[in-house]
Amino acid sequence: MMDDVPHENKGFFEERIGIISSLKAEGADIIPAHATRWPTYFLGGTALLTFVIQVITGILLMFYYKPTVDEAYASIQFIMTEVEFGWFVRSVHHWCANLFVIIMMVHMCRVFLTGSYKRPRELHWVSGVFLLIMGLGFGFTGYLLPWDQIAYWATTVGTEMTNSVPPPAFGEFLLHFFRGGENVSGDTLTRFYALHVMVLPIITALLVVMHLVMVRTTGISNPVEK
Amino acid sequence: MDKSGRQVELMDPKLSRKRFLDTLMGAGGLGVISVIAYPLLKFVNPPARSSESSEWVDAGPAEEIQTGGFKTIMHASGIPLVLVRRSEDEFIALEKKCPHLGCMVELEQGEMFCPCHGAKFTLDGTRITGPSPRDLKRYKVEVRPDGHVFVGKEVG
Repeated sequence: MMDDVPHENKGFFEERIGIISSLKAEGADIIPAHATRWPTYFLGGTALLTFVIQVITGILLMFYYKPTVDEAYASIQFIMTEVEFGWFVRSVHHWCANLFVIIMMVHMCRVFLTGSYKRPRELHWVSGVFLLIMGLGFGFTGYLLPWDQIAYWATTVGTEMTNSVPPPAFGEFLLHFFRGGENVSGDTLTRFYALHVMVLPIITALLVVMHLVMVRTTGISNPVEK
Repeated sequence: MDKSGRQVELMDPKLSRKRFLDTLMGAGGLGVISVIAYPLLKFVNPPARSSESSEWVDAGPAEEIQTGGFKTIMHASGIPLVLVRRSEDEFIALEKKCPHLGCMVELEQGEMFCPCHGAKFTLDGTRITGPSPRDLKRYKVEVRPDGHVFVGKEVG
């Protein structure tokens, strides 16, 4: 195709990388009229925006945060009191974490009420449910990182719950997997840190890409049509 | 400003309005980006730790170092120094950081020697040979009445 139109003026990078052309796959970029008029169709994109903000502020916090028993709390105090705009970056990370979950839930309500999860968009819904679980996982693991009293006991209670998963041997395995030992300790802190900054972000990013590719493939649903 | 009619095309009111709005959008976008970038750049810039503020460092009692001997100490700025006792009451504090590319110089056979690229300095920091562009930095030293040696700011 490209060879047929060698003089098409796409710009230097687009001619070589072609990412915008590939995103403009046939018919996929048509936004139905109801989606532009009905003010609930921005929620997925807003959830993505909060995720991007979380990645940026999270990386910045990693510059100063130290995931050890001795230094975790002190390093957060350092961020809040000594680092310029440290209070700002940490507060944005804190509030966007809450927003991320809230927006995903409202988005889920919209998708449910407009019946957008129906064929051929079942996997959009399934990947979205996993994204919500990832969001809650981020919240749970991130809550421990300040290493204060509320974080310690919230994690004690939260991990204790996994002990009830049947059969008992599996429940015990889960408990030890999350705690890194019998009790919540510095080993729990490093595990939660690894989950929070490596495991969950990578899985979430992959799910986000899947979710977006599927939306481009099927296009946005149109409940009015049916 | 030729008379072939192009001028009219350039002065097209719709075109100039579009350009005006594009410029306005660009300027606004730049403003938004700077407002976001400023706190993030400030955040990345490491704040001074409180230990860096004190000026004089206690290097221990003078009698710990024999005449002709030396001792490695840490300056308040976090840079290691060599404290040499040249005579009964003459101390010299030299920065261990080589002015060439920042390796740690060592006191070897009465000279300061840099193992990375072979720069050599005398015990008062003067450059002898090697790639170093400057002498070693010297720091102020004083022996206080309690017999302790204190190392202060850089000389000069």
